[in-house]
Amino acid sequence: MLKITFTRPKDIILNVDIYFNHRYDKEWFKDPMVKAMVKDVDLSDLLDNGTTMSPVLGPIPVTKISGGVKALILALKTDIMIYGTAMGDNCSTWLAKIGKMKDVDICFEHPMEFTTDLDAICVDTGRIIKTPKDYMDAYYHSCGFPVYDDFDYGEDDE
Amino acid sequence: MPYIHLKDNVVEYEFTFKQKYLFIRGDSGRGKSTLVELVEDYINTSKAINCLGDSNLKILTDIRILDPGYIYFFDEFDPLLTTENAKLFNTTDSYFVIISRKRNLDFLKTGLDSLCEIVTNGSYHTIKPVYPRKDVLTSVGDVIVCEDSKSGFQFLNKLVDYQIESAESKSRIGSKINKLIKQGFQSFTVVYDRCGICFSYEKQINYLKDKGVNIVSELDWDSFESYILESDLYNIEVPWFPDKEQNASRLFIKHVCKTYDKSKLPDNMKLPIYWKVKDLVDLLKPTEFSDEIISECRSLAPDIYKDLPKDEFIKVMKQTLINMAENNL
Repeated sequence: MLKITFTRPKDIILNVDIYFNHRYDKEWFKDPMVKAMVKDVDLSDLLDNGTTMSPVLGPIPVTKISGGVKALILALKTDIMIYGTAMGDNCSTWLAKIGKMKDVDICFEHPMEFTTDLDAICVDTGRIIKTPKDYMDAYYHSCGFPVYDDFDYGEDDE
Repeated sequence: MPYIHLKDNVVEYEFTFKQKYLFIRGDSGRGKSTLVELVEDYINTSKAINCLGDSNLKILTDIRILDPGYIYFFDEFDPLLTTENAKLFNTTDSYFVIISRKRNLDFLKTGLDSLCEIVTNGSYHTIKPVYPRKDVLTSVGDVIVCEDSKSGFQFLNKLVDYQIESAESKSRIGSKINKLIKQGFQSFTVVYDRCGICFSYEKQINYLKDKGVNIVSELDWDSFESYILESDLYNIEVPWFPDKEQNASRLFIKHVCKTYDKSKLPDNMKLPIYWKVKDLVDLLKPTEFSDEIISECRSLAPDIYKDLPKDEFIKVMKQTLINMAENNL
């Protein structure tokens, strides 16, 4: 389950790149799901030793894969809180998939565009998130929009 | 206007931008971070990278020593990008290219055109606006909602005889539209300054659209003052850097009205009508139909319309003309 917060914790690791580059485990790259994520998001082929074949950059070390894929791999392989805003929208399907496999603590500071159903909860409110619409409602609620009532957008002095 | 063109044997980046801030967004793995690495490598070993555009590039390392006139590159994760540092960013005469996702950075004063998306074609990378402006207005909502009640609002009220409501501020557009929905209005034209709205637009307008609110058109001048100054009447180009909104206000005072303070439209000011404002006026101006034309149209109209009273029939004709215009017929 994705345990989503829209409030950034003080100790969250924002720079996913640096964390990944110093903490990755070579065994991760043998996982077919990791290879599939790199292929789908970065359009690159990840070899067992971590070398990656990018269609643009050619052979690159695994430290050069995108921040979005690094965040996905960390979500799959570790228990650290993930900074979801490091991911582009093209990571959302994989993130939803990982959330159906294991618990992931994740913080968003932006409205990620999910296109598939989710197994998630907004830990700020305790509301269950099952659909992309549920996610957007939770996001808008975190911005101060009273979405759970009838449409009634506030900042009203009356 | 900064022109970035960096190229090595593997990748190439080329784009221009006009505002102080440029936020480059896009999917993961499309080369956003590689751009910053390329700039870093260019600074370290300039002969390794072909710099075919501006060469005054830097990587942000210390907010206290920003050199005016330079273009700073960094990622939004940079710990220097905080609300506490916002004033330093906003007041320095430097440009900033920020690798961004969709994070709300509304402490940086900027406009909607600074939000761009990376476009990749093989090894070539450029950018395109996230919210491109449409320069034609083809329909008008039941009511026009203006982000504030200042001169722009007063200007539109002078131009057209139509219901125009003020939201009082850009952060209250949603609140105002909600009230209007409760009053029975169903479609809206929203008027706002592109130069100042940026992240508020994403929060408010996108929220309203997500909620199914029918915003049929947007009158999005850079700012009201720049609309006036850039008209044929004045023909003054308003610079974008460091802040087009402020530049326009300054130039408006200089060239149009020395006592102008934004809150009131100057008396006896000429009202230029062009661009989308002209479309708005054209769409809202009363159309006169002679009895002869009405009679001819009635003979062509489907039977259901033939017995309509004259004024009702004219309404149908007007709507038909608008629909034809919308569909470019």
